[in-house]
Amino acid sequence: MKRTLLRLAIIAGAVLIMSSSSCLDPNNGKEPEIPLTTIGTYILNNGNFGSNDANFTAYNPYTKELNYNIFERSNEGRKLGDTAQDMIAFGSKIYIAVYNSGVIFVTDLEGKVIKEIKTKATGSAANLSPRFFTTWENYVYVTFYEGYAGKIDTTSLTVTALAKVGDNPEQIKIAGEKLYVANSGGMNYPNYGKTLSVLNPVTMDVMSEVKVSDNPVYLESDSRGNLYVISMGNYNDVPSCLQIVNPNNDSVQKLELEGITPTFIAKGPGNALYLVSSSYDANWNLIADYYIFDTNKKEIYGKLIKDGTRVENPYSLSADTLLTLIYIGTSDYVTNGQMYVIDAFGQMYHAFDTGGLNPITACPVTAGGQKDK
Amino acid sequence: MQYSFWAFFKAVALFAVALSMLPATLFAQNKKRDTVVVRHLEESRITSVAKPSPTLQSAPVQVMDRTAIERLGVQELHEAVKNLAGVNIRDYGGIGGIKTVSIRSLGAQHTAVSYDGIAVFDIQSGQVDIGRFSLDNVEMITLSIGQSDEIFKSARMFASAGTLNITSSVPVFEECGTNVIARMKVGSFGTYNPSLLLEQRLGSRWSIGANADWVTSKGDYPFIIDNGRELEHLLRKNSDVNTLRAEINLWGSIGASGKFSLKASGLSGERGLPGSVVLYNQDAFERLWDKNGFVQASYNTALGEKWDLKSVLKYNYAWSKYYDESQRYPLGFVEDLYTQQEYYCSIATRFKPAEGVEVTFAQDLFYNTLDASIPECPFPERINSLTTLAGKYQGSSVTIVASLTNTYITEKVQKGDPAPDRNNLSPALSISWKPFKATNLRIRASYKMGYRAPTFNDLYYLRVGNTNLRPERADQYNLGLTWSDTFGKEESGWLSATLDGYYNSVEDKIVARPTLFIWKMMNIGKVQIAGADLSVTSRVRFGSDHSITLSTNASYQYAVDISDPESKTWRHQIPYTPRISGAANLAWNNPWVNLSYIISFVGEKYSLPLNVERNLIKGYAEHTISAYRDFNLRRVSFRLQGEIINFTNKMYDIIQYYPMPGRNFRLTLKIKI
Repeated sequence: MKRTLLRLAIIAGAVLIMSSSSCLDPNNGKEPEIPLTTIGTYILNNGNFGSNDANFTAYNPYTKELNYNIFERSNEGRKLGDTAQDMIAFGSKIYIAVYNSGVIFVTDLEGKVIKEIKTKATGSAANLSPRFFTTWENYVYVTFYEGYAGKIDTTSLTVTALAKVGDNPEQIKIAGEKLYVANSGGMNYPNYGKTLSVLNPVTMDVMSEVKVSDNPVYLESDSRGNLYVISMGNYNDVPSCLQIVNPNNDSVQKLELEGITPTFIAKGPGNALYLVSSSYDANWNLIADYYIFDTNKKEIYGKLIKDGTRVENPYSLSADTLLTLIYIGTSDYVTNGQMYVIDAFGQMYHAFDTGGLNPITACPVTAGGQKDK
Repeated sequence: MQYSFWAFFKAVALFAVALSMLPATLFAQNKKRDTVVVRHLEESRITSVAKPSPTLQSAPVQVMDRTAIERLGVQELHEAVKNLAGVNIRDYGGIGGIKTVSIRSLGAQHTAVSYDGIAVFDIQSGQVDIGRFSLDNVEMITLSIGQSDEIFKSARMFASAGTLNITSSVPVFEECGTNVIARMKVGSFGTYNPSLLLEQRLGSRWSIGANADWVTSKGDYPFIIDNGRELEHLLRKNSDVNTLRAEINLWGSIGASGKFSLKASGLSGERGLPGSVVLYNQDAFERLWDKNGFVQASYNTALGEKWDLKSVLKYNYAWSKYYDESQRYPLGFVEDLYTQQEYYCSIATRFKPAEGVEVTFAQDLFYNTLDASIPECPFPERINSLTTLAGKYQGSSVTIVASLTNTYITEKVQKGDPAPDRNNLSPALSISWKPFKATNLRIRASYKMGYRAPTFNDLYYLRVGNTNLRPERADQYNLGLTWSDTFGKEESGWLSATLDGYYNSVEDKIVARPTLFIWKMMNIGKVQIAGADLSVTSRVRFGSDHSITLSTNASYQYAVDISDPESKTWRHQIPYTPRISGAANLAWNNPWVNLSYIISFVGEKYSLPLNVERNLIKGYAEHTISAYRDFNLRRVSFRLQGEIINFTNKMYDIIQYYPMPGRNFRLTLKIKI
C-alpha cells in the first residue's frame, strides 16, 4: 500500500516535470515556481584504465528509460576520455572529472561541452588528474590526485585557487563551513596517508590536519554538520573503518560496527546514511551487505535491502535524496556494469545495464527550488 | 632441513655439469656425423644447419631459412614471424614496443623461445620480447606447434605448447680465413642501426666470431586518433630507443665427432615507453633500462655407434629499471629495479637401436631468482627439473613420435609462504602417414598436453600475486594434410601445401581478476579454441636466373571464453585474437633487382573479453615492398636494400590505443669483405 502511494507520488511528480520540460533540460530558460525536483539521473561509467572508454548514461527514474553514450551523442562522437572518476550537477551545469585524461569537462545538462578545464601546478608541465568534486555556495571544489585541492569559479569556469594538500587526495566535503580533503596516500603502499586536510573554503588556505585511520577515501556530511570518514585500511592487517569528525573541534570518533567493513557511504534524507560493507572470504570472493546508519543514534538502523535482492560486487553507492532512491553500481571489471536502484522501502525499484564498465557514480540532476546558479 | 635440500639440488646440478663435460675426453672416436636425410627440394646453400622439411613433419613445423629471409627482405624477427601460419604477434608499436608471439590463441606464455637450441626465458612475465633479437645473423627460424619431430634436444623444448627457435649463422669461410661484414641501416623517424661482424678461422678445427650492433631511434612517428568529428594528428612521444648489443662466439671440433660452441652475449638499452594513447593527455614520462648478459656453452658428441650426447650450460643475468615521474607518486617519481638470474644445465642422450628408430632422454635443471626493489618483494627462487623420454620411428611412409615430459618445480621465498611444489606430466604423440606411394600426400595427427607454470609475477607480485595458483594447462589436437611436389619441365616448379585443423583447450587459465580494491591472479579461465591453418608455397624458375616464389598462409581461430555460462562473456572471442588472419608474399629473384611484396592481414578483434563495439579493434592489411641488389667491387661484395613498410600508410592498432607506425622507409647497405 505504501509502495503504491509512493509510486503514485513519483508519477505525479514526473508528470508535473515532464509537462514543463524535456528530459534533462529544465525550465527552458524560464523559472517556473516548482520545488526542487529530480529531473533525471546520469550514470557515470569509469571505464577500463587505458581504454578511453569512460561514458555516461541518462536514466529517467520515472519512466525507467535509458539513453546510452550521452557524451558522444551530445558532442558529435567525441569521447569522454580515460577513467572518469566523478560527476556532479550544479546549477545548470554538469562537471565531470576524467582522471587519466587530466581534464574536467563542464557541460550543459544535455552533456554538451561548455568548457574543458586542464589544470597545471606551478613548476610542472603535466596536467593534474581530477578525482572528486563537492560544492558549496557558488563554488565547485575538486581534488587532484597529485596532491591538490582546487576551487572552481562557476561563472568563469576556471580553477581560481589551488591548495597543496596531502598525497593522493580522494573525496572532498564541506562540514561546518570547513573544507575537508581525504589524503589517501594510495600511491604509497604500504605507507598510506593518515590525515584529512582542513581548508578554508573561501581562501583555500590549509588550516590544519586531522589524524584518522589509514587510507581515508570516502567522506560524507550529515544533517547536523558532522563529517563521516571511511578509511579503507591497508587491505592487509588494518581493516577499513568508519569515523566521525566533529568540525567544531576536529575531534575524531571511531565507530565500532560489529561485522561491518565499511567501503562506501552515501547520504540519505534526514538522519539516514547508507553504507556498503564488503569483505573477502579466503578464496577472494566478495561478500557484500548494505545498511542504513542513523546519524542521530550513531548506530546501524537496519538493512538497506529488505526484499531479498542479492546485489553482488558493489562498485559504487549513490543516493537521490529527493526521490529517496539508492543507486548501487556493481562491476565485474570486465563487462558492462549493473545498476541496482533501491527505493525508500528497501525494495528493488529497477536494475539495469549501465552501458559501460565500472559504474562509479549516479548523479541526480535537479531543477526548481532555489534560483539556478 | 630446507637448506640441505637446496644444497642437494645444487650438488646434483654440479654433477650433471661435470658429467656433461666428461665425454669430451673419453669418447674421441671416429664416427660419421649423423644427419637426418631431408629431401632438399629448395635450392641448396652452403650451410651447416640442417633444415627440416615442413611437409614431412608429424606436427606443424614452419621454417624460414636465410634464403627465405633475404628473399622477403625482412629485417626484424617479428617481421619474419608474421609470415608464419597460426601465429599472433602482439606488438605495442615502434622499435621499442614489446613484441610477443602467441601460437594458436594459447597466449605468449605458452611459446618457448630458444636461441641456438637453448631456452630464452623471463621468469617474471613468462614471455619473451622477440624485438630484442637482431635478424642480421640469423640462419633459420623454426616455429613448431605442438611436438616437433626433432627429439634430440633439451627437455625444456618439449615442455611448451609451441617453440620458436632462432638459429644463428655458423661461419662459412672461403679461402681467406676472415669474414668481415659491416652494415648500416637507416630508417624513418630518426632510426640508425650500424652493425659489424668479424669472424676468424683459428686453425682447422676452431673459429671465432664477434658481432655488435647499435640501434638508435627517435621513434616519434605520426599517428591519427579518431575522436568523433575531429581526426587528431599527433606524434608518438617518448618512444626513443637506444640499444647496444654485442656477441662473441667460439666454435670448435673436438675429437672426431665432438662439436663445441660458446656464446657470450650482452645487451644494454634504454627506451621511452610512450604508453597507451590517452585522450586529452599527451604526458608520457615512463622509461625502461635493460641490461642483459648471458653465456652459453653446448657440446655435442657421438658416444659410440648408437649413442649421441648433447649438453648445455647457461648463465643468464637480466636487469631492468623502470622509471616514471608524476606528482601522483609521493616522491614525484618512481623507480623500480628488477634483477633476474638463471643457471641452466641440460643433458640429452640419443640411442639409435635400429635404422629409423631413435630413443632420447633429456634432463634439464634450472634455477631462477628474482630481486625487485618494489615493496614486500619476497625474493623468490625456483628450481625446475624437467625430464623427458621420447621415441621416434621414421619409416618411408610412417613417422611416429611420442614423448613424456615431467616438470617438477620447487620454490623458496624470504618472506611469506612459497608456492607449493608442483609436478606435472605432459605426454605428446604425433603420427605422419603417407598413404599412397604415388603422391607425396601425407596425413598427420598429433596430441600434446602442455603446462605453463605461473610466473613470479603471477605468484608474488605485490598484492596481485597468488601463491595458490596451479599451472595453466593447454591441450592441443591437430589433424592435417601436407603435400609437396615438383612440376614442370626439368622440375622447374615446386609446390608445397599444408592444411591443419586443430582443437585446443586451455584450463585453469591464469588471469588477473580485479576485486574491489586489489587485483588478484586466479586460475579461473577456460578457453576453447578451434581453428585451421592453411599454407601454400610455390616457386617457379624460369630462364637461367629468374625465379618467382609465392607463399601464402591463412588462419581461422574460433577462440572463446567458456569459463562461466552465466557470464556476459560466455562464448565471446578472447581478447586480441582475430578470427581470421593471413599473410602472402611474392618474391621475384632476377639478375637486376630482387623484389618482394608482403601483405599481412589481421581481421577484427576485441581489446577486452566483452565482444561489444566499444572494444572492437578494426582489422587491417599492411603492405610492404622490398628491393635489393648485390654487386661486387674487386673482392668486396655489396648489397643495397630498401624497403617501404606499410606503404599504403594504413593507420592501425594491434594493441588498442598503441598506434602502429604508418608508411616508413628503411635503407640498408651491407659490405662483405
